[in-house]
Amino acid sequence: MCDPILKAAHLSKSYGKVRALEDVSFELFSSEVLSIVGESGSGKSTLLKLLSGIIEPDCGRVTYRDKTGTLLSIFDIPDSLKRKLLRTELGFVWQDPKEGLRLKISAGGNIAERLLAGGLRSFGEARAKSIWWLNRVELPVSRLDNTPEEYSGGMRARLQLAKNLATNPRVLFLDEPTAGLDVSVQARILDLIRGLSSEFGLAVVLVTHDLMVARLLSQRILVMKDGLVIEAGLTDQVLDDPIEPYTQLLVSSILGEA
Amino acid sequence: MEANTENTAIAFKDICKTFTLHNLKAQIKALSGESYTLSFGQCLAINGPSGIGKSTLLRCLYGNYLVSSGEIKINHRGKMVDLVRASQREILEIRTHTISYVSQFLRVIPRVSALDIVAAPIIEKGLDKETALERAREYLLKLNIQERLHKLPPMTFSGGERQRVNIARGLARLSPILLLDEPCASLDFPNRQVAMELFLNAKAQGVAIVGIFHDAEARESVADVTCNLQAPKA
Ligand SMILES: Nc1ncnc2c1ncn2[C@@H]1O[C@H](COP(=O)(O)OP(=O)(O)OP(=O)(O)O)[C@@H](O)[C@H]1O
Ligand SMILES: Nc1ncnc2c1ncn2[C@@H]1O[C@H](COP(=O)(O)OP(=O)(O)OP(=O)(O)O)[C@@H](O)[C@H]1O
Ligand SMILES: [Mg+2]
Ligand SMILES: [Mg+2]
Repeated sequence: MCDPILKAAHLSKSYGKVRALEDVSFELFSSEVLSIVGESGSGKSTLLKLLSGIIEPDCGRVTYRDKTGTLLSIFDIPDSLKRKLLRTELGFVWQDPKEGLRLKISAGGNIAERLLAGGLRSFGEARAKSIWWLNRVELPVSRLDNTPEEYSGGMRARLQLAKNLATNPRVLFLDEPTAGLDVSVQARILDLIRGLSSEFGLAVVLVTHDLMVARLLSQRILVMKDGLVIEAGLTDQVLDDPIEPYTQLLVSSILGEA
Repeated sequence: MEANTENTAIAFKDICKTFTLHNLKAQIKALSGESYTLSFGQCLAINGPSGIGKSTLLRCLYGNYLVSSGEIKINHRGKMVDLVRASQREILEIRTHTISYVSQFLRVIPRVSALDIVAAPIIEKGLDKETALERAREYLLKLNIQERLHKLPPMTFSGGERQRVNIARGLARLSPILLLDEPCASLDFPNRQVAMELFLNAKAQGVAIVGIFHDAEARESVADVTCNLQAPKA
């Protein structure tokens, strides 16, 4: 079997006395969707930010295998290279859209900015690509020149997605991307992500509180509590036959069947 | 001793499964030492009263439930692999290429058409999209799902139609091992016969089947051997 595209080894991170993450290790492969679930404050966003090199751990390593097959130790490479990766091969959809978008420039401008930073030269091409991706995430093209300030929460999430996908990333980090979307748009977004992962090998780490989304989209799942991964396995196995008390509680607290 | 292993599709030994329900502080013993060896082209029927552990056994064979102890050897591309000790990625591989599981109900995915639902596992195996869609269409038609429904998501289908999509999905990928959990329970008589005919065909092609069949007549028509689950000793 092929090598992982991303590998986390013994990641730990504390904020003062708060242990946000403790000794987390796993591997992620191309074409794979891995979901991360767990209660609020369990360290999910912290983990995503570490994996993408946005913040640094107290200890541990993240290794990314880039487009050319080179293994990069994310906390050892120069900041400039890290930033470049985040504008091109890695995508990050933030839980808080203010972090992922510039609220005062137009939607089209947000997408074009990433494309141009990623190496695209032509403004015309950037605009054409922006329109194409707005369509893919089902945002009305008529809103291209509006700023995200004028967008709803769900629209902002989709704009972040369009912006990130525009550079054809190889790994996508998604922090609650479907929160605040109505069911039918949510389904469309899930479909889009599933398609990109199976057809183009996109690897996805998906933080979600929605176990149904985890079930439909991911092959594997990590369950977090108090900064620890307390249970990990195939998504259907963990959701159908949870072993840990906390996971059993999480699964049974969902009304109906997840 | 292990004569004819090349033809062994699946061999499970001493499978035990106990569920621990933490919030109820309860333990449920569902399986206590089931063993069986099945060859390609054979069908094993799992039998027993409701709640005895039939679905549990089948789910263990798919890696959907973790066994408490025991081993499950699967003939995956000519090699016997122990599902109990396999990595998560190995299990996914085995599911993609070797084991197909037809549950009692289809889990519908919003906005994905019946045709795409059936084609997806074929594409996952590595076949090209066109071939996959063509084979998906063929199996949907075999199960009397009319062409006009193929492009629709099964969300709005009747229970029986959904279940036939589910069976088509399980069969069209042509896996060497087929697990069936009461696949015909929600089908009317003519469709039940169509489905049973397809299972018999698969068997004739060398597919190994482990199945739960509600209906005794159906069971007898397809099963070569029956495994009667007994209430576990406390
Ligand atoms: N920059 C920070 N400074 C101080 N504490 C922080 C910081 N970031 C996170 N924390 C703390 O670390 C812990 C984990 O936070 P994190 O944001 O990773 O949780 P989460 O699992 O994403 O929660 P949620 O589901 O609510 O988004 C929390 O206790 C949080 O208060
Ligand atoms: N995920 C689970 N968590 C806890 N207990 C379970 C789980 N799945 C099954 N059980 C229990 O295991 C026992 C066997 O259930 P199983 O579904 O295997 O029965 P069955 O023989 O298939 O019954 P039926 O004919 O009614 O479908 C039951 O007591 C059931 O409640
Ligand atoms: Mg968070
Ligand atoms: Mg059952």
